[in-house]
Amino acid sequence: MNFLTAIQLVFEPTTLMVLLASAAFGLFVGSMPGLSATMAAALLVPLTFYMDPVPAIGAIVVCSAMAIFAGDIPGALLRIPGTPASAAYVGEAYQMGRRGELSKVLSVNLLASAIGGIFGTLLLIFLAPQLALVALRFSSYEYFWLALIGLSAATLVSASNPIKGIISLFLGLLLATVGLDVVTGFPRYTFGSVNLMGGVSLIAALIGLFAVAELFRKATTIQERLPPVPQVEGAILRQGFAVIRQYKGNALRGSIIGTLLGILPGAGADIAGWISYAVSRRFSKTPEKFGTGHIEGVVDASASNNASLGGAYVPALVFGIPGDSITAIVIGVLLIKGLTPGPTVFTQSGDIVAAIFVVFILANLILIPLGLLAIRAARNVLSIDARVLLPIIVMFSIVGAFAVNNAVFDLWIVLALGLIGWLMEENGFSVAPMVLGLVLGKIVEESFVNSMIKANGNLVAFVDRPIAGTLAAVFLTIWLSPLILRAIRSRAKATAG
Amino acid sequence: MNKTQAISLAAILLAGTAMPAVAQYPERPITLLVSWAAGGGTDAVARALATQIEKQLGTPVNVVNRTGGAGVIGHTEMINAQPDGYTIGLATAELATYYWSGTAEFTYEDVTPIALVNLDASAFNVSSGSEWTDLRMALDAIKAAPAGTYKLSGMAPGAGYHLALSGLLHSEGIDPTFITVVPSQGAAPGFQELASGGVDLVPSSLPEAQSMIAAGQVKSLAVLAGTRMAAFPDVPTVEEAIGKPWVAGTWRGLVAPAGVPAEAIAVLETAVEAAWNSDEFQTFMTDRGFGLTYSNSADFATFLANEHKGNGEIMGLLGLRQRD
Amino acid sequence: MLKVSDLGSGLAIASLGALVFAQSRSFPAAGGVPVGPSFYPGLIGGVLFVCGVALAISSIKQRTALPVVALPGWTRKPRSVLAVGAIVAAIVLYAVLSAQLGFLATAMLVTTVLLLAFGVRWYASLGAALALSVVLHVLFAVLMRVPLPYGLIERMLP
Repeated sequence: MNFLTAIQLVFEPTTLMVLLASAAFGLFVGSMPGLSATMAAALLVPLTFYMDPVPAIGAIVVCSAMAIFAGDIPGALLRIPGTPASAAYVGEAYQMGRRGELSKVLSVNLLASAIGGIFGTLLLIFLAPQLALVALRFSSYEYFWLALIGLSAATLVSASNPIKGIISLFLGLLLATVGLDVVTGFPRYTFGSVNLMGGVSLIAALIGLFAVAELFRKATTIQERLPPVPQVEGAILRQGFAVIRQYKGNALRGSIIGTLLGILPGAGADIAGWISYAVSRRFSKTPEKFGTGHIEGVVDASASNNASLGGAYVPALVFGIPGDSITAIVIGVLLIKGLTPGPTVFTQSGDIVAAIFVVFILANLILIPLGLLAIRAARNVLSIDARVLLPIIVMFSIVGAFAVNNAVFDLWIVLALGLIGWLMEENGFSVAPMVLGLVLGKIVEESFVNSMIKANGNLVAFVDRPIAGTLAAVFLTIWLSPLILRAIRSRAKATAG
Repeated sequence: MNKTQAISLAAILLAGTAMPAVAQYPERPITLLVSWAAGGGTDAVARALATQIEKQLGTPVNVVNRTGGAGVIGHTEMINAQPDGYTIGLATAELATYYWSGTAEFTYEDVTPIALVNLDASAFNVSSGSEWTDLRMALDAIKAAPAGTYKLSGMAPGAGYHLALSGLLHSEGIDPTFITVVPSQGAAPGFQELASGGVDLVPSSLPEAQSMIAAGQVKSLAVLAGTRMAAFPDVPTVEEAIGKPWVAGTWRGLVAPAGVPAEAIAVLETAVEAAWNSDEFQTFMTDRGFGLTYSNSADFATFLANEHKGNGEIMGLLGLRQRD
Repeated sequence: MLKVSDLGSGLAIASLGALVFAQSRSFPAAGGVPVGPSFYPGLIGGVLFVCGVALAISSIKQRTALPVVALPGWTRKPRSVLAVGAIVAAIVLYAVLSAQLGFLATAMLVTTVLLLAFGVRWYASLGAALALSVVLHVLFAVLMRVPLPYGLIERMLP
């Protein structure tokens, strides 16, 4: 692998033009509710047919890094996450925006995203073969425990009543069961509709539960002509730097968790955001501030979802096994370009792999100036009259929801979940756990059922592999440690008294 | 607006959309439906083919991915589309299984075959640490062990490669239900299970296994093809391994809804044949290791009828057949 | 949206859970496999039932004399009702009409309806609807090559 040749490959004028165009495209796609980073990559596939390998893959790398950051922008402005990866902390960011701290929260999103992205890339460059081998040790037993740990995060992401949080989570899990059953192909809760056999589209659900529900709420106050919230002035980046310096440990922790989740096939940026936010709250010195517009969890989660992007390339490049839905597309593009992922790709096409690494670093560096431009542009959105802004968002939501699967049917999902999400939030049920349930639901069931099939129903198999046993212990600790701590404290009180 | 006005407006709108289209086919862009996700193998074949058909017809051919439900959604869309020749689809082997599994009501008779463009042979892939060194040894071990001892992954039960392997097992006098299927969404998660020691074998095409073979994680014992594949000279055919010719795998072919005007099908058939024969398409398929097979509309129809019958039998043996 | 008391929502969730559980019993068993398609939905239905009942009981214990279902304040403001209705109508109209009319015609119609309902003057609404529809068409159909529905106006485009 020769980085000098690689840099020459990247710094060709045409390649740079492609990368810059994909950056702009990624920022646009990410900030539009309904258009996710995965979809951006899918939309690029036909174009990559006519490109050389480096700009082809580079376009997807740059575009996804931009999109995952840009997903935070509509979250802070309108409480509508631009991509599923931003859903975990959208409430937190929006409340900060309502307090006039829009510049602060968006610059934290931006800097943490760049830090996470670079951290993930460094692990990819230096430890890819070793980390990929560890990832290959994960079978359905390990995924089962991991998914349960993920579900535990639901109790940490819903601020209010715990029973309502669990109900919301299980409504999400229920939605995830719609469609063909994984083992027998039996259609569950499809009501005879072929469209429902494919299940409830996550993006359509997200547009419904967040975007359309929020549009309904805003529509009820349309005649009040609320003035835009006055924003804190001052240099945007400086506000973010101060926060990052204060929470540098969080940025690092988010980056590590994000990269590791990215490396594991099947888990990507969507899940990384949730887990990191929950971990941040669990270990925070001030957990009571979470849910009130507190920046701490945003640092963790913003770093985490961008870090996962680099991590996902680890198994993709080493074994041809995609680490997330974006790398699934990348592998297809690599194959079309005659590059077969595998250990040999590092030796036979070392320059191209090195060039992809260079693009990764470059993407996270140009993220900062381009992101700043996007933030400046985005702040103007709030000065648009709501009577015009809301119809525009409605139209983008409709077209975005349609474009994901080219399915009119998804619009019915959007409408139904828009009404349900509105009803739920109005009555104290947070929709965040529901989205988490929808994200993790299939993994929970598939890993459980597959494990039962492999073990012929023997439950011991769930814990008798080293990694599975460790993860099971982590899961139990999460649930039992509050009880044990309480017991220790009451005993200490008893002896002291 | 009163009722009469409303009706006449609706009539005008409908007339505008239902104009006869055959005048000079094709006069507007054609949509090519794919039941699987962008970036996958079927998507790649569809896009490579679409580019060449575009050149032949001089009209854009847009690939549209309609994914979900193990392909049933996209295939249903191909069958329910307007039969005007402007919506066609790249069907896959699963088309001939949905009827038997009870997933859908349609059969191969609900499509107009245009051309078969590809056949991918299945391969018998095991972990590189497996004690099995050749196909004979593996088959004997499976035959001797109690039911459920060995497990496979890489697809949903009843998908193309599962049926291909089950046919081979059945011909060897082995009950194909002896091997338990651990379902997965595609070959890659199957290989993950294989490498982590969860399953014993993954039937997939050789190109899908290429990365893992190169990484020394997987070895392929045999390919269910007539001849060895150029890109994999070390992998023997079933005939070489156990002395019995056996060809099976999955296929891809262009179809249109039933009832498309014969003129449109004739235009498409000519264009697809020329596209298939183009150097660009041939090179693309060979480089990626896709099998190159061509059958015209009539032969493809016979092929589909045979697939339908064969799948019905094998799925019956597997207990996956939901109707007679 | 409707205000529902915890008693009401608890009972609704419990009924949903019971329904899901009951329906899952009718799913076929998977031959030779330890867990079939009914296990997981059955579990989810069970948890929803228990949580719904728990929510209802805790609500009764608190003895808050709230009505089970109440209409919130905005339903008495015609402009709010119109705006909310317009969003529902927009999605329904697009879903029903776009395949027949094509994207551009549907988008213009739907956007005009939305803008009018939100209180924008009719001439501004028409202009903005035209502009937004064209922008969306260029962004999605031309630049991103998303196959938007084809219809009346697209037919006239080159």
